[in-house]
Amino acid sequence: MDLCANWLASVRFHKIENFVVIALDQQAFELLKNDSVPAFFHPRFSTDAEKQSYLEGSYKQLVNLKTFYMYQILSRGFHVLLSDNDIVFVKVCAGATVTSVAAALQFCRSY
Amino acid sequence: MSKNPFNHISIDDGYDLQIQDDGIGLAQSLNTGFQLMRSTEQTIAFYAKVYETTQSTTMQDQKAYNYVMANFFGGSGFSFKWRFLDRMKFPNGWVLSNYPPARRPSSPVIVHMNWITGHDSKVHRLRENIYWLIDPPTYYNFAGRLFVTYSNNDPSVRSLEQQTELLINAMELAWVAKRTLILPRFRTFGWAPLPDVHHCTFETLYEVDEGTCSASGPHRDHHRATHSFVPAVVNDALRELLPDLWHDFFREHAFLRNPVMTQADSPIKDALLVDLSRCTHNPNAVTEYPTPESAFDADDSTGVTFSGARASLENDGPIDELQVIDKLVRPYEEHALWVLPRLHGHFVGARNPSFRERLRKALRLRTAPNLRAPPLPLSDAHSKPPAAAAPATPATKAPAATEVKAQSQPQATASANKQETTSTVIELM
Repeated sequence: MDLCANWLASVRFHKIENFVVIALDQQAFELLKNDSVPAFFHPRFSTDAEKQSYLEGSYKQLVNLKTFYMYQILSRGFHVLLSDNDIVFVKVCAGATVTSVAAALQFCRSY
Repeated sequence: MSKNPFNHISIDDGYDLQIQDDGIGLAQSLNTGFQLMRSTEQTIAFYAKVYETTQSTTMQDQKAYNYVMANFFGGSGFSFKWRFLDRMKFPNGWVLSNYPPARRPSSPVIVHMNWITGHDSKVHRLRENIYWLIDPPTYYNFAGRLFVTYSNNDPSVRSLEQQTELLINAMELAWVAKRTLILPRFRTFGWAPLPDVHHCTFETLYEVDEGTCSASGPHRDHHRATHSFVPAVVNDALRELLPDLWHDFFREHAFLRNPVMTQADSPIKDALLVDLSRCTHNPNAVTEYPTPESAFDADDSTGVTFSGARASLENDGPIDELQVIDKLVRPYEEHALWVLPRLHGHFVGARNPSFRERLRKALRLRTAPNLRAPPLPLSDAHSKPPAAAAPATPATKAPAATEVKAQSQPQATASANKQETTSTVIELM
């Protein structure tokens, strides 16, 4: 969650407003909502809060959700700038929609 | 942070997909973590195919991207327009942290903490690059706090084992002096402190978990040689070991360079160069060595050396290294920062095996296995011979270090020269 906060800090530093964070679990979503971060969560397309480990099954599900969401968004006619949340925006990138897959929210619990 | 934000990529660039380059050498590969997509028939078809691949095979998304791109969308005759983003402007984690300093991106648009696993490792690497924006003021609040840092730039320090030994020494010194240890830079692939060596972060050097590492493939799924000596793990270990110190045991090497530290009462302003090398019995060991890489400016500070001091202490009977530290340096306790230009071989660690053993055990320190110099970056590949990036460790240079190591840990020296080729995890415990 703190990686996400850091990502948000860098995005907000550049006054980027047109983004949405895709939360992949309920708890992350609640935290984002409480912080008034534009966030999206769908319980059907989420991961369980069990321990996640890189390259293990649940992590694979998690990152495949990223593809799933991208497909859904593109199919609806939106251009998308996708960013993991272990990224920091040093400079402003583009005037496109910014999306963060909140994968690191899972990492917070597993490491 | 750039003060002049401007657009570096745009959906109007004429590409359906612009995506981060995850490659580290000549080969490029797609990184799914940062990409700009236009909503077009082609991109929708591409994503449909990728998703289908992830569902019908065991591939995870990034492999599926590369697979689909190579097999279905890469060839001519298809109108899918895409490109890699400039590796220098949109660097992946390897380019950012593991390229030789001179070839790292000087002005990236984004930075991506991949090529390293684990939340805490990512955070630590962000801190090292001064991209961690959310530390509370207490992290930098140095009122009444004491620091010590040391140089890892000693010509006799080459291998990972030697760097580890030095680190253990420094941790022990920090513990004795009740000071927060500011880590130096570590060197992964360079075996001597040359200008062009691969500096690496703490995590790249060490792993602490039991992660199954094999460095056999070009893709990082198979190349997870970067495991974590992560702050949380260290803190957990040290909390028990050093109840009065654990919470402030160390800081990243960039700590002193952080803009926050330019305040008037920064420890840099109150630095003391503590040259323990002259505590030695060996008169030949007194040489000029580089000062630590930090914002510390040696010209502005006072320094102390201890020529012959140890011999005079020993007039009263046998002493150990910690007593040397205690008796000689304690009078300079009021200085906020001690800078040790040389630690290796002269402060060989306290004769306090119990502490050292517990420290090693608690930290579960191992060197990362099978680290090799990576392929050269794309842009320089044709102009520089590969040998420039490869570690060169002539066995003839070893004796000085061997002598030193023999005092503290003979078995480490034996394995040092095998470091490059062995694929086994070398345990230091």
